[in-house]
This record gives sequence, structure tokens and C-alpha cells, in this order.
Amino acid sequence: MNDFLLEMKYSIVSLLKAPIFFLSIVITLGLTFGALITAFALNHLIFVEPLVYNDHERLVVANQVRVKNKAEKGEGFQSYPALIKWFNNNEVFSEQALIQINPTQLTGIQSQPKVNVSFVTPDYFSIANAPMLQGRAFNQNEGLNNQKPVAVITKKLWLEYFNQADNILGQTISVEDVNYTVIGVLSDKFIQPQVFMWKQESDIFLPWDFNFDSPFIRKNWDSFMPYNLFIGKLKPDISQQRAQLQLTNLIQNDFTEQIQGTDYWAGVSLQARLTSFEHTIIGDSHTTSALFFAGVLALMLIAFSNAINLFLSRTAQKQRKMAIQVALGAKKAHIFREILAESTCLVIAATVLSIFVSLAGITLLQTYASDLLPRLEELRFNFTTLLFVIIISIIFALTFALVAANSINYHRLNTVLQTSGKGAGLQISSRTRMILIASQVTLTIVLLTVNFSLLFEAMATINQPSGINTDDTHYLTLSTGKNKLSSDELQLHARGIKKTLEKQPDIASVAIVSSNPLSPRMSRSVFLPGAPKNHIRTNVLIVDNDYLPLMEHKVLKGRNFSHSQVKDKADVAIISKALADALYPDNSALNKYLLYFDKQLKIIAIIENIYNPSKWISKKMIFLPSYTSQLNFIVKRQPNIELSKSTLAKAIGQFDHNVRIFSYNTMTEILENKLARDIAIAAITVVLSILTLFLAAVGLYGVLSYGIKMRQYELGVRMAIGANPIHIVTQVLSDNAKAIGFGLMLSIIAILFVTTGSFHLGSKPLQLGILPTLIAILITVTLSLLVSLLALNGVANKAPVNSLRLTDS
Amino acid sequence: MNKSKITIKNISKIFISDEMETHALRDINLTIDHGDYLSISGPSGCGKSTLLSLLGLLDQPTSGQYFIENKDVSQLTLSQAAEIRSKKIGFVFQQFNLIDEISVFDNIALPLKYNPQVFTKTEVKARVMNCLKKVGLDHRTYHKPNQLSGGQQQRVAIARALVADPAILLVDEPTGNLDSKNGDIVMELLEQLNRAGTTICMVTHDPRYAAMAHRQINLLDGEIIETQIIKEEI
Ligand SMILES: Nc1ncnc2c1ncn2[C@@H]1O[C@H](COP(=O)(O)OP(=O)(O)O)[C@@H](O)[C@H]1O
Ligand SMILES: [Mg+2]
Repeated sequence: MNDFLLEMKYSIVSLLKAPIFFLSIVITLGLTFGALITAFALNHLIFVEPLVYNDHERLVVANQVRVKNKAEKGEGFQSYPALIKWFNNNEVFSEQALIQINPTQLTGIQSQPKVNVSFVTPDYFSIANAPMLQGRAFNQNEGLNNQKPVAVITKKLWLEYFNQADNILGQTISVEDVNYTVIGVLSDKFIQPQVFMWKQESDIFLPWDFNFDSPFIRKNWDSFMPYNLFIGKLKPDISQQRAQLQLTNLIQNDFTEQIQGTDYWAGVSLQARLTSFEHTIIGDSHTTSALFFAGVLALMLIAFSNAINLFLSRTAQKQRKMAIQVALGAKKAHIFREILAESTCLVIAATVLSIFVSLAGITLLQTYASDLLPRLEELRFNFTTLLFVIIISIIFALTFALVAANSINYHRLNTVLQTSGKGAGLQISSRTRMILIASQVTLTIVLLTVNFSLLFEAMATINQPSGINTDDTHYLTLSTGKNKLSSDELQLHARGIKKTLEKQPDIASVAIVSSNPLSPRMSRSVFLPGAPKNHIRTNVLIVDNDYLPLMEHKVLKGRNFSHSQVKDKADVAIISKALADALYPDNSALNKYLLYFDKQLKIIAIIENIYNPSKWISKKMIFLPSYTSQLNFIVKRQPNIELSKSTLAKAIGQFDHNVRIFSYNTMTEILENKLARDIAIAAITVVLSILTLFLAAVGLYGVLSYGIKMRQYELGVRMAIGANPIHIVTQVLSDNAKAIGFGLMLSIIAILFVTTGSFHLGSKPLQLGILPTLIAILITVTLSLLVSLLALNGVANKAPVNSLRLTDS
Repeated sequence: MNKSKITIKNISKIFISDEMETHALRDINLTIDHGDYLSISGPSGCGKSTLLSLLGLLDQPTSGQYFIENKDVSQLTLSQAAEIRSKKIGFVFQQFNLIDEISVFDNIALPLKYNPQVFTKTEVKARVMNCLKKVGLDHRTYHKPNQLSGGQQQRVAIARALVADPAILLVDEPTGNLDSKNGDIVMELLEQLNRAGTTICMVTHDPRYAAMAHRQINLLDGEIIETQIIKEEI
């Protein structure tokens, strides 16, 4: 053992003398191994580690499904009274909770920060195993209908807004002007169960009774909301099926009774669908996670074969030294120990780097991939990961040493000393070299194709013009706080505020809108007069007559609302091209009618579709004229002027000091926010492509330059008998072309395989385009040829004597 | 007659490596005439191979001039040098240096492929077979080099050197890797070729073989210390 340590010391000294070799191996292997460790940790978490919640196999999410003629019409949206019915009447759960998630504002704090709130019933905390740092969670006296204004906050909120105050318990926290008493602080170990369609980390937990739903929604059976949910822990002897049946029975009749007579709901029944926590939280991320592992593994294999190759070349270079050692009596074991010592040093250095890379990778995933992958907050470099790292490192070190040792013909080593140059001792067979080259080419093309396909798709989304002016417009939402106003009062307020704002010198114009056109929040069915069964689901935006010109929303046919149409809520509508095409496929929508609720609206204009990066937002849109009773505005600033929040706040305060800004964003910000995923994908794929190319270049250079080194003497002989540099280059390129062509063929087969199989990234199928494939092939082949030329450096461009004089020192 | 084919004037070669300068050759002057048979000898490291590689345009001199058939070839590009090598120079190495993957025939035909002149298939075949006959190996045409003995391989190498009809044959220790019997056969072959008109410049440290040339040059530390005329040219 001591001998081995000493050997390692020598190895370190000798490796430091070959810094390029050392760094090439450590960096390529370290980077890719690091990524593999991250991927391993992720896959282990998703595939192997159980959810952190007690009895998690009994935990379920109850969803309401609307069914018509056995076909599902919608899921993921809940009717409030149905949830309450479940909560009060079921006998299948030992613990159960209602949850509503929403963004909100802490109004008691000067800056009125926006935070996320969850309204929950007490069992939520026991179901989710919420560990407390201080105080307690809600008890049963703070459950449904108890109206106790208490709050449990997260450690993060406590740190950020209460400076970690010791006396936090008992303090008051004000949310939307309602005061709650803090009774507990959650530990930061709390992993919030992500059971909704989108993720939300809540900062504050309040009793369900205080949730934001209006009395109308609370009693209306046909208002379905996505931010409410029911979770429960099944009693031990109750099957999921039985529970599902009972929950369905609890709501079915009520629903049918309540919605009677409406055309829209005719024939629709409401059913329960229970899904396990496991399924809800992980969903279809298994493939995404496994694909991530496969991709990274491919990268790492490239790097690994590169490293082996470099290591072999180095062993080849050292054969003279080894021959002398053998001549002096060294045994096979000595030689092996020396090689193993060197490979161990290399692998240790690479592993240390890879651990740092994996830690960075975990942070990167947590920051950027939370939309794509579940449970990331649980992702850690844990004991299992460490075990994985150790096992793989040992495999690495042994593989290096064994492959290198195998390549040495111990018995022929002594002939190395006798002959000069040509052919003695170590050679990697030309077949192995060909396989190395071909596999590099294959992996590179496949990885690049996947990357480019994703990149092109993301870029297309990013570069798609939205169709509206997002450059100097802002979306502004206001809240009246405690001062609850009636719908008519709100309408007057909105108009008053609009007038006030328009007087500001920095502001060009203002439109009152029901919501942001990029996130239309209301959707309704419209249909053709005379075809009341033929529903067309469409997004609804209520706007005034300033909206279209302000947004520069292109009018294809017809004209904008007039002021009086807005004031009178005239029976007219402006519709998007997509809706026009759906209603009147023959292009004749203008001046025709559509049915909205029970009203006939005349279509007075058709406008260009808004291209929304969120693909699930329909392009079908209807714009109705009215001053809405919501305090939402689109504000266009004067050109080249920064419109600050405080300017707006001051102006609004002058109008009514109770009104405050709830949100204020430029439309560009809102658009970019929606593009965040695509921007992240674009960035990641660019980085991965560069990394892939870098690895491929290093790897191919390794194989090719080794190959050329092996035959340099032969090339020298060819030159001596008259071959000129061009002959040499053509010779080598045509030899490599075979291997490159072989790799190309394999990659095309692999790409066809991926295209025909249905692989998914997140919820989207992975589609490989033809253009990305061609570009990937072009780049890889060019790279291989360039690298071949580079590897010939020192042979074809030097006097032949250099190649003929080769000795292997 | 006696047209001077190869002339080198004041040739020096200095190798610079790791801040060390090696004067491999100093101020060498040499003329090789048509039909000449020159041997170069001297102790190891005296510069024999270096001189031969300059003569074969495998390397460029540090200073001095080199003429082949009155054409200055001291400062050529790699491609120009390659062209002259393919047309005017035949090389024979100590380690034979045949390419193992291709047949004897293809090995011999290889220089023709690199020759700027384009040869038809029949021309190639005629030339290769002619050379094989000269070295007495026409029955081994389609063998692979490693199926032949050392002596046979060296004869194939000589045939390859002759195939483009070079002005001079440069031979570096042709018997170094052969036993004495095979060595004798190869030397006899060279003598025959010279008699038939081939100009030869050979490096050897075997005094017996050196004496078979017309002229013998002795090198020491990169300088010519002695030129012996052994036979007058006929
Ligand atoms: N490429 C080179 N770099 C440095 N020194 C060299 C090189 N080639 C030859 N030499 C040196 O030049 C001298 C002559 O070498 P060489 O011509 O091979 O001798 P010989 O063939 O007579 O044994 C030797 O000292 C050798 O070490
Ligand atoms: Mg020599």
C-alpha cells in the first residue's frame, strides 16, 4: 500500500509535467461525470426514493371531472360547493384538507410585497408532515367555518420580512388588509406537496375560511376553479376505487340538480377522480428524467472514451521507459501498478471536480428546471449519490488501467529498445480506433440533433412576434384594499383613475381591460346563431375603445369600438382571426352574428391573433366593449420615458388614497416571463451543444492524432517515396471517412429510432426536425474533417524527416 | 560524359532542440556523377543519415546549396520537394519500410501513384514487373510483405525505389536488419544495379560493404575527413 502511495506521488509529479493531457482528461471527465451525478441523484429521487409524506401510498388528490357521453370534458378545475360537500360528508378519509393557492400582498408592510398564500384546513399540516420551527400548526378549532384569523408562516417569510424576530409568535400579519395572528413558523425542511397543475411555494398559510373566492363562487356549482383542491389520506381499509365511488356519489346528484336547464351543461355529469400523491406530484416526469440521464450518460461516454484514448496514447508514449524498466527486471505487476497509480490520480482529480459540478448542477436544476421536473427541492447530494460516485470512480480508474495495461504487449516491450520507430509494442488496433471514431460521431450527431431540435423550437417561440405592442406598454392592476366597492362603484373608479392617469405627462394613453391580453383569465363558450349545440370555447377580454389603438393590435377587417358602444355595452364584438375562422370558415364573419350567453352580438371587426408563448392559451379570443368593474389597466408611456411605479402610485393616491398598486409590469416583462421556459431551453441547449462539440473535438482529436502518431512513420515513408502533403491529407481523410461515414449511418438509425418511438420531454413529445438533423450532421462531419487535418499537423506540413526520425521518447 | 548529377556546396545542418544546438553536418561539399556508386561511412551519430536525408530532400539544410542536374533545390516547398523525390530519388531504408496492409505489387507501384506523371494500368504493371524481375522476386508479386523474409523484403524495397526510374538511389544501412547471407545478396543486387547504370549513394558502417562502392566517404562529427577512390569509373 505504501508502495502504491509512493507510486501515486510519482504519478502526480509526472502528470503535472503534462498539464494539457492532465487537464483534458480532468475537465472533460469531470464536467460530464458531474452532470451524470446530478442526473443520477435526480433519477434516484424520482424512481426510487419514496415521497417524504407519512403513509404516502394512502395519500390522494381528489379531482372533479366533467363527463359528457362518457367523454371527459375537463379536469383540474373544482367546483367550490362540491369540495365542501366532500369535506363534510365523506367517510373514506382519516385525514383530509382543502387547499386554495393564490398570490397576494402583505399589506401591513411598507413595501407591500407580493407573496404566495395557501388557504388550508388543519389536516393539511399533518398530511404534509409539516415540521414546525416555532409555535404550532392549525388545530381543529381553526378549521372550516371557525373564522379564526391565525397564520402559519414559512421560515423564508420570517427571515425576509420579520428579520427573524424572536417574538414573532403572537404578532399580527396583514394580508390584503385582513389581520392574522402568527401562531407558527414552519421549518425550512418542509417540503410543500406540489399537487396543483402548476407549482407554487407558499409563504404563508391561512385558514380556509378566509380564501379569496367570492360568495358567488362559493355557492355556485358550475364555477370551476383551478386553484382549489381537495387532498386526503385514505382510511387503511378503504381502496382508492371505493373512495372514488363515494366521492362521486356525494356530488353527482347535487350537480345535476343545480345546473338543470342550462344548455351548456346539458348531459354533463360531475365525477370524482382520485390520483395518488405519487402520480400527481411526479406525473409524466419519469421519461424526462430518464432521458436526461441517457443524454448525460451519452455525453459522459464520449468523454470517457476520449479519456481512455488519451490515456492510451500516453501509455504508448511511455513504452520506451517501460521497456527500460522491464529490461531492468520490472514485472508485469509493477508496470500495472504504475499505470493504476496514474489512472487513480487522474480519476480522483476528475471526481473532485465532478462533485463540484454536480452540486452546481443540482442548484441549476432547482433554479431553472422546476417547471419541467418534480421534487427538485428534495434534490441533494446524499449518501446514495456518494456511493454512486465512489463506485463509478473505481470503475473508471480500473478501466483506464486495465485497458492501458492490456494494450501493452509485455513480451514485446524489450523489442522496443532494439528497433527504432516503427511498429513495436503498443498499438490500438485500427478496428478499435474505427469504433471509437464512429461512436463519437454517432453520439455527437444524435446529441446535437436533439439539442438543435429543442433549440429551434424554442427560438421559433421566442422570435414569434406577439402581434401586440409590448414595448412601451405596462399592465397595471390595482386593489381597493379593505374598502370593498360595489361593481358600479368600481366601474366609476376605473374611469376616474383612467382620466387621472391620462393627465400624467409621462403617460400617452390608458385602456381599461378585464385582464392582460397575454393571460386572458376568462373563457366562455360562444356559438353560431342557430347552432346552439356547437360550442366554441374562447377567451374573453372586456376592453374599452382605447385598447386596440394602444396595443397596436392589427385590425384585419372592420373597425374599433366607438366610445358610445363601450359606454352602452353595445351588442357588438371584435374577434380574433382564429375565432372568426372557427365560426365562419368561409371568411365571412364580418358583420355577421355570434351567440354569447343569450345575446346576439354583431361582429364589427376581425383582428390578428395574439401569438402567446403559452401554447395552451387558445388563440380564439373575443373582445367585448365595456368599462369593466375590475381595476386593471394597460398603460402606454410616452416614447423614451421610464414610467416608474411611484409616479403611478402618486397619481392614483391623489385620486383615492385607499387604492394601491397590486401589480405593475411592462408587457415585455410579462411576455418574457411566459418565454422563460423557452429562453432557458435555448440557453441550456446552446451550452450543451457547445459542450458536446468540445467533447467531440477533444475526443476525435485524441483518436485521430493517436492514429496518425501510430502511422506517422508509415506516412513518412510514403513521403520519402514521393507523396506530397496533399497525398498524405487525402490518404488520411479517406481512411477516416470510412469511420465517419459509419458513425453517420448509425446516427441516422438512432435518430429514426427516436423519431418513431414516442419519447417525451416534460409533457411535450420529443420531435427531431430534418433541418436540425442536417445541421448536426454537417457540423459533426465538418468538425471531424477539421480535426483530422489538425491531427495531421506536424506530419503533412513538416519535412518528412521528422516523421522518419520518430523515436518514442 | 561525366555529367555532374548531384552537387552540394558548403552544406551545413544544425539541429536546435531544448536550447541545444547540434551541428550534424558542417560545410559538406560533394559531387555525385551519373553512374557513380558512393558509400558513406563513419561512427554512429556522425551525420550519415542526416546527409542522406538532405540528399533525398527529406529535410532542408541550414545553409549551403544543393543542385540536382544543375537545378537549385536548396529551398523548395514541401510539395516541390515531394515532386522531385517522386521523379528523381529512390529510397531504401534499413527497416525496409514496406506497408504491411498492401501487396508486394502495390507497394512497388506506390511511388507511381505519387508521381505527377499519370501512368496507365499497363504501364504500371510493366514497370512493377520489370523491377521485380531485376530483384529476382517476380514469383512473390501478390504476397503481403510480412509473408517474406527480411532479405526478400529489402529486395522489394529496392524494387520500389527503382520503379519511377530515379536519377539516384539513396540507401541507408540496407543490411542493418539482415543476417550476413541475406546482406550479401542485397549488396550483390546493388552492385548489379550499379553496373546496369543506376547511381547509388549508400550509408553503411560495414567496411566490407563500403569497399564495394567506387568511392568511399568517411564522416566524423559532421565533417568529411577522407574520400577514398576505390575504383575508377569505367
Ligand atoms: N531531429 C534531430 N534533432 C536533434 N538532433 C538530431 C536530429 N537528427 C539528428 N540529430 C543529431 O545529429 C547527429 C547526426 O545524426 P545522424 O545523422 O542520425 O547520425 P548517424 O546516422 O551517422 O548515426 C546526431 O548527434 C544526432 O543526435
Ligand atoms: Mg543513421
